[in-house]
Amino acid sequence: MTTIFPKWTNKLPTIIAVGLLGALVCTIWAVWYYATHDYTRVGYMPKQPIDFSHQVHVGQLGMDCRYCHTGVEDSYVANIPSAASCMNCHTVADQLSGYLRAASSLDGQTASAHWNNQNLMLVRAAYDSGRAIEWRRVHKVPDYAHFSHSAHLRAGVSCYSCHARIDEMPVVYQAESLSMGWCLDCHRNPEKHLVDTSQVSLTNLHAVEAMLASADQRERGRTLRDRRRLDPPQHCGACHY
Amino acid sequence: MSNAEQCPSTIKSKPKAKDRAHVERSDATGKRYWRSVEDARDEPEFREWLEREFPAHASELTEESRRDFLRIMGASLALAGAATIPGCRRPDHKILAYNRQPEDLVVGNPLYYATAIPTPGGGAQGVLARTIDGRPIKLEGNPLHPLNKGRTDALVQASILDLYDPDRSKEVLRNGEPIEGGWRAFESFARTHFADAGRGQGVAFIVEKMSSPSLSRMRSRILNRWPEARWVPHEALDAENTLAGAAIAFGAPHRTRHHLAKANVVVTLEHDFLTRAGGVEETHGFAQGRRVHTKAGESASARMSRLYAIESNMSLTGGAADHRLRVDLADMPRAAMELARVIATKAEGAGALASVLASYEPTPDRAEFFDALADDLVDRANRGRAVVMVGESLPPEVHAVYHAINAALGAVGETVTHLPVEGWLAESSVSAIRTLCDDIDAGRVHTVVVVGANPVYTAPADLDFASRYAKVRTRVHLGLNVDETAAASTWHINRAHWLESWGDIAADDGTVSAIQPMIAPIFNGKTELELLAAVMGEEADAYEIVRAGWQDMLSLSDDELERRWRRALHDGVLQGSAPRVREVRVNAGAVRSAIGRFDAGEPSGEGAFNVLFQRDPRLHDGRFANNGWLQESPHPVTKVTWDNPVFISSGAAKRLGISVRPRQGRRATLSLGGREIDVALWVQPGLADDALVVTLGGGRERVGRVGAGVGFNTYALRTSEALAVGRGATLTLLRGSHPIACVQDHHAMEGRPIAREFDVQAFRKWGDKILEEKDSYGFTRRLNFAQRAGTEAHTPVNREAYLPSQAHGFSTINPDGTPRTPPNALANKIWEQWGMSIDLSMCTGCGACITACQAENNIPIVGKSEVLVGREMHWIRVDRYFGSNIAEHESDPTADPNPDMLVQPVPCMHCENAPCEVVCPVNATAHGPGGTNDMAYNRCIGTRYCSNNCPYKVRRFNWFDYATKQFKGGFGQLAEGVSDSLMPANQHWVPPRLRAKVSELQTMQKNPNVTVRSRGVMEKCTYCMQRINRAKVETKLQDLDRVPDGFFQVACQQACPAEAIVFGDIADESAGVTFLREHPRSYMMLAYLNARPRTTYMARLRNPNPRLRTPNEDPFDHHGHTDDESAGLPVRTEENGSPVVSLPVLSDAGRRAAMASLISGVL
Repeated sequence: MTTIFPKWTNKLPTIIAVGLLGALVCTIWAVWYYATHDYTRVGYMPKQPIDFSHQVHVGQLGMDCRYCHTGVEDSYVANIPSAASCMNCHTVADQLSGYLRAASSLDGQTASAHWNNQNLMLVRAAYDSGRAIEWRRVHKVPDYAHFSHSAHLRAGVSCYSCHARIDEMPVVYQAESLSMGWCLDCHRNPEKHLVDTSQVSLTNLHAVEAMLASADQRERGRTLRDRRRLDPPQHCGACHY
Repeated sequence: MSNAEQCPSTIKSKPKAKDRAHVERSDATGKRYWRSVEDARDEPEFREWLEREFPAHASELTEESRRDFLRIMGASLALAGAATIPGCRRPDHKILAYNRQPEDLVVGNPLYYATAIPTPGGGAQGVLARTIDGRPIKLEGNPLHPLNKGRTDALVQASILDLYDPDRSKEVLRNGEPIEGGWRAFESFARTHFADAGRGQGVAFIVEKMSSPSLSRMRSRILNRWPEARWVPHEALDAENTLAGAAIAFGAPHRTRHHLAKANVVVTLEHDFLTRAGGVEETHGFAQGRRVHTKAGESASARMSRLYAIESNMSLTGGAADHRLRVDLADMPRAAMELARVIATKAEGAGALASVLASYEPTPDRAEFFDALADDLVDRANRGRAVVMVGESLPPEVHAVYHAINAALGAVGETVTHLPVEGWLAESSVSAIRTLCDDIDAGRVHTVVVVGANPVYTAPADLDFASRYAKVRTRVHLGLNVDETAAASTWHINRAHWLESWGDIAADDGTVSAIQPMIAPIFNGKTELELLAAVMGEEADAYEIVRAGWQDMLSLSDDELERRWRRALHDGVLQGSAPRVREVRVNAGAVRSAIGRFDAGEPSGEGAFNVLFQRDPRLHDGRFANNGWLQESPHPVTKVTWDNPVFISSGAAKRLGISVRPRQGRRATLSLGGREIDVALWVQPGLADDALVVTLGGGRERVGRVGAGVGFNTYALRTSEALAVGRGATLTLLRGSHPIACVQDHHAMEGRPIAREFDVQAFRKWGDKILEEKDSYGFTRRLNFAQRAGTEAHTPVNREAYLPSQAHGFSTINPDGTPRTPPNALANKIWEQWGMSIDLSMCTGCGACITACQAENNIPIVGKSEVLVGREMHWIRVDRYFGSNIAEHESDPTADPNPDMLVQPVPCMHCENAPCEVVCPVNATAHGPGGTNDMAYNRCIGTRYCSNNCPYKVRRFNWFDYATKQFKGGFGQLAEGVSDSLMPANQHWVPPRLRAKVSELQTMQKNPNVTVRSRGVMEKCTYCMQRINRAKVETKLQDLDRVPDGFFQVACQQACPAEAIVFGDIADESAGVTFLREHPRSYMMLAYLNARPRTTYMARLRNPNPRLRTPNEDPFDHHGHTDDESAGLPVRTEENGSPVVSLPVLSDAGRRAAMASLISGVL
């Protein structure tokens, strides 16, 4: 009797089963890995209309976060500063550059470089015309989650805990996943992230980073937590309403 | 009979409908409670509606519509393939920061500005507008305003929606077409057109009555410049009779303010002050008089006011009354005069009045009522504490008589004050427009400028204003919508909303408020001041006009004016601007001679009909017709939404042979004075048998997608001779019916004693007594006054179902049944325990809470077709019950011609043992440590189990994308002649993606602190969780441990004109809500279910006059509760025909004892 199917087909069910199993494992792994905020959100770094550098302003110049993000201690949102805030310093810088250009031909290059800086021209244009700068939003929790900057700052959560070393970012990117699990990690064990309220908006994020990494942080955090009678909410209605 | 024979499956029929007659009755009051005729008669349709959480259509598609659905779905799938699939990329969100951030503004935080909202027809309510990032999103009452004192009515709450109405008039129209140049074009037209107006011959201004000082000043400037121009005030619902009556009594038109908080006895004659436009002050005062918040041990001295209502309509005031006398509409003037005679004969110094009223001898059927009422009024103890209020539908002479009577009762200066109404606001709208019509006929008018009013729609039908208006050559109209008058005008100017304009307005007591803009005019609209300035050829903006007007009014130096102005803007009122109240004397001779000339008319014969034209409490005269919140908010008494049927009494309906069908109004032709319209009839208990109550404001033709075609245009029947009452109407029944989206049966709860009422005499006797007794298991039951009237007086004591270690820790009772102070969720933190108390004695049922909640919580409207199938989304509803006397109307409670009314607002109860939480498969509804029952929308998968398990029926389901997709109107309102049955498919079955999104304008109104829910998500009252959380954050920023009492208010509490809703931390012993929860009147709804609701009610008290009805002093002394019964077995209450099986979970010892007692009882 002639064989209709060649002999190797006997292995076909096994091959198919193993293949399917492999595919299943791969699918699960891929979803597990890729479909999480850790993958999809962390590192999100949109191109901003103006190359504003936190590295320069915070890292090098040592400006306090609250100088620009004025509402962060009072409001749910940490506002993007108005163009007028930029001009507070940059008018002085502009005048200085104009003065330098006039006074010293030696330094004319630096001066005109400042004057002709593309980014600053955009800020000045916005300030003069009244047209808002269209910043791209980097950190965003969903609409059904409500988050208050002021409450977290008051509790003693440093900028560093959510925004990482923003003083080292020439372009801002999202460093943490901002997923619900990530929020709850801290709400369950807040002592890992609590600092004294005087230090929450330290410009020296390096020091905060070191402090939070130090061995006695748990102990210090627990003391702060008890002193301030903190009980981070974990029920749905705390954020979802 | 074997068991098999009893099984429904073997006998192949449904079990017999249970007899509920004994369930609805309350032995405490001797009344039977019902919501609608269907309910009272227990008709099958009502039972089906009742037994399903959502009615039949709500969850099923019919075969016909299923095909339509598949067809549409197929088309949408084809389209889906063509459309690009949105990628997985994160959407690009932009942040537009300020260039120069305004001072005081913290991005994301609300700012409150004081302003005022004009009341239609004159007067105003002071409000605080909450703006977030430059957008006003919610109006709250201004606590500094002397009249509304921080409270508002539903109209004010809803007016924010008008600002963001996508159907608003957006541009200047010339002959119906947008014109190049817009406002500038009109200005140049006006400059040339009015330049040669000479002395103003042929120019007329039709102006809505706004008590704005600047507008009045503008008027005098215009009339100075053009002395022969006509200024025609126009309000469809003007106070003609009221002002004329005051003019008789005082010699000049006066407005009367009633200070009801001071009153012991209030009598109303067809005067529904609880739903009057701008009636917040009176509602508040009345509720204060009904407030029985006695301290412990002082119940015996409880005091409350007594309200008598004499009316032919069934109004909210009649429902709130302790005694209501139903009088035929045609007989009302005579009844009013008869009552006046009885009072005048008894009151001191009114003898002369009594003698001219001698011919009005009370008819025997009301003599007893009038006698008792009059004795109450003239009682020495009530001197200066009694007041009679007369409604607009009664003739001027009646008003004049009662001004004299109020004076004789010593009410003037105490419970009533009179303020002169000056200038054009006192003029009669109808005579002004009649004269104008005569002038038009004579060809003497070439230009009409209509400011705000809509006379083409609202003018009396006999004037045929539309065709007369068309004869005028130049017709200019200023309005918020392109309405009927705008369409008939040569020029239409889009008006600025109050929230985007400068102006000023005087409240009813004369207090002047500045109106300040919250936002720049969205469509560059103009105010009435700016329009009139342009007509005068001036180029001034409203701000300058108002400032100049104030300079004139106050005559102060610039600096001082600036100071006062800023102060007024801050406070919302110009302090000291209210004129001093001067005592006005009644001209007794004039009143007497008016009575001598007065003809009260004869009662119409058996079977005759008369028409009572009524203001619609939601739409006013129709100007709010495009406001979806108001259209969908149920009428406070009839509970009809999206319609204005003609209301007819049960008796008349029976006589005509109209069968009552749920949600179907019988079609009929109503004719009055030779004019006829087709209407739908709706049977309304409590109406006089000769009365056909017609509400105005329906049947708008041009208003926008929400209001167009909703209801019937009843202005077609209203003539200048019969503005309030039309006598001699006839009804011709037509075939067929008109669907009426009436919500009175929605969310009914099987007639359990959930709304409780007592007589105040019973409260005085029993209020301080606590009933302590053993239940049948031997556990102690402690019941306060209100609890003794409920099922919990008959059921075993509620026991905690869980061991302490299992309990989620929010229960307020210990395992042994003793009350437990709410625990702290964690040892080192005190969590506030939120609770709410609703006082049914103070609640009038006006429905301001419904609209306030809708504004605060982004609650969508669903449209008439959806309300018809029970899908309305209101988080708080106001249930309305009729109560009829069991003894007199045992067989048919609907035959009671004069039933009592009881209202009860029902939000989410926030149960501690919430039944909804245990059935949610995904834990989307869960408990918070503050005792709130939270909804996580993003977790909800829409099984609706929670809603099925909620005994209070307070959960609402988003069957469709109500909130995020464009509203296209409901069925039956698309066009004239399109019958509802012809509509092929529900518009909502168009897949969401293919439906139009709500416009950006509408999204601007949304509260950014509340999630906008999408399709398939359950929602319900959250106790304004956003306000709770914000308050907690704010107190945290202040380093306070807990939120102080009164730190914030929830939206319904904030709006409530009666202060009936109190919210707060029930763990705070000094909090107001804690006091009220412990009050003897306090009870939990369906307490025996052991859901432990956080929202509690305070039983309503009535204050009957013992001469008219013997007060029920011993409400607990009834047959259902005897000693024998409570001693032996578990008390059986016959609930739905079977013994209530409650599930007490007991300690072992308790269980053994209970079992023993059960067994011994059975044996």
